[in-house]
Amino acid sequence: MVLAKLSQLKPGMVVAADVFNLDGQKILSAGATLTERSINLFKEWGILEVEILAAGEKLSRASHPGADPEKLSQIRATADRLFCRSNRDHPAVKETIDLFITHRLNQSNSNEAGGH
Amino acid sequence: MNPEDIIQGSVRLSSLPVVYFKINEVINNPDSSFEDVANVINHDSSLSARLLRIVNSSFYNFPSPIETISHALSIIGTQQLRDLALATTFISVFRGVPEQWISMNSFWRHSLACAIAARAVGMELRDGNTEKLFLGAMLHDIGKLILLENRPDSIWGILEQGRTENKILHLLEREHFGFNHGHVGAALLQAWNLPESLAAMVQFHHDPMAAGDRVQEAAAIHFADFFVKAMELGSSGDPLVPPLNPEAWEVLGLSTGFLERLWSRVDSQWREIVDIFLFG
Repeated sequence: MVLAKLSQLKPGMVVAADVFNLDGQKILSAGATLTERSINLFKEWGILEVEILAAGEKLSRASHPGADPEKLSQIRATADRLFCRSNRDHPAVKETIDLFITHRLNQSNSNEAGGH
Repeated sequence: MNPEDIIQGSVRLSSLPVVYFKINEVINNPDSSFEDVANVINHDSSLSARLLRIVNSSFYNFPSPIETISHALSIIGTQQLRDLALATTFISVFRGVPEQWISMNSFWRHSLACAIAARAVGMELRDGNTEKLFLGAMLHDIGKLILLENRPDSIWGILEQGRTENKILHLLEREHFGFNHGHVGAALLQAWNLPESLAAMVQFHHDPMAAGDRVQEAAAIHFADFFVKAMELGSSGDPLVPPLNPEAWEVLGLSTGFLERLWSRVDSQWREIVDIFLFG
């Protein structure tokens, strides 16, 4: 992941983290590919820097920005136990573990939302 | 001991539903029409009702409702509908297997999740025979049921050891019997005279690279089993997610980007399919 200045952005680059405007509204999601239009949009919104993926880098869902750290570490511990006999360095297994963690986080968030 | 010894004397040997043979007979007869096949299926009203629910579910997402079996046959194809028909009747074949160690409900929930995932892999790979993958994946663990019924002491010991020592069950089975539940399931399918491709998928789901010219299908079941264990949908007694065979993953040629779509597809179809198969 590299922090790129507006002038360095080119169509085809992939955004590594959600992009927000100054009002805190999300204008582009992590994983989106930049287009001329999105770069112009950044200019209009006064966004100066954007995190993008380095060449060959894959978007890490497992960084889970905004997740409750305590909850995240509990879920990671569950994943460690569940996948302890699996080949965790394989890209497809890694991705599956990422999905497991994401899904568990979503579940626990929606359980909380349902409880209020 | 070999897998054939274990299925000898199993009460399940003679319990394949009659309707399957009738469907097969009419499909294999070159003079049969769609109407002839439809008549056989319609004769079993609970089977035809279940099949119609499946073809009208999110599983297919057809734009307009399909109201008759002959319409379903013309859209899905006779082989595919036969495989689905067999899949829906299988749960009743295994009624009465002792449930102290694995509940049949969660066993079939796991099997159906695996079947949905394997079918989705087939669709991603533009495999023309997705319902065969569905059926193979649905049956991948039936050898466990035979072992539970016919070698309960051995298999209970294995399940207990798996639980306490965090070990993978099929490896413990191999240590104990010299083969795993895949081989037992395949022996049963062969005894039933089901297609060889189906037996190969079941036999090699833990060892897909040994499946010869069935390697792609076996790899699809192997991967689907891994994936739905990670999704924790149902349980076949394995407390842990097994390793993914890297060569099998290469054989499939899927991208890791597919996995997120696969997760949501299985997630969205699973409840409906479980409802139709287990309670329909």
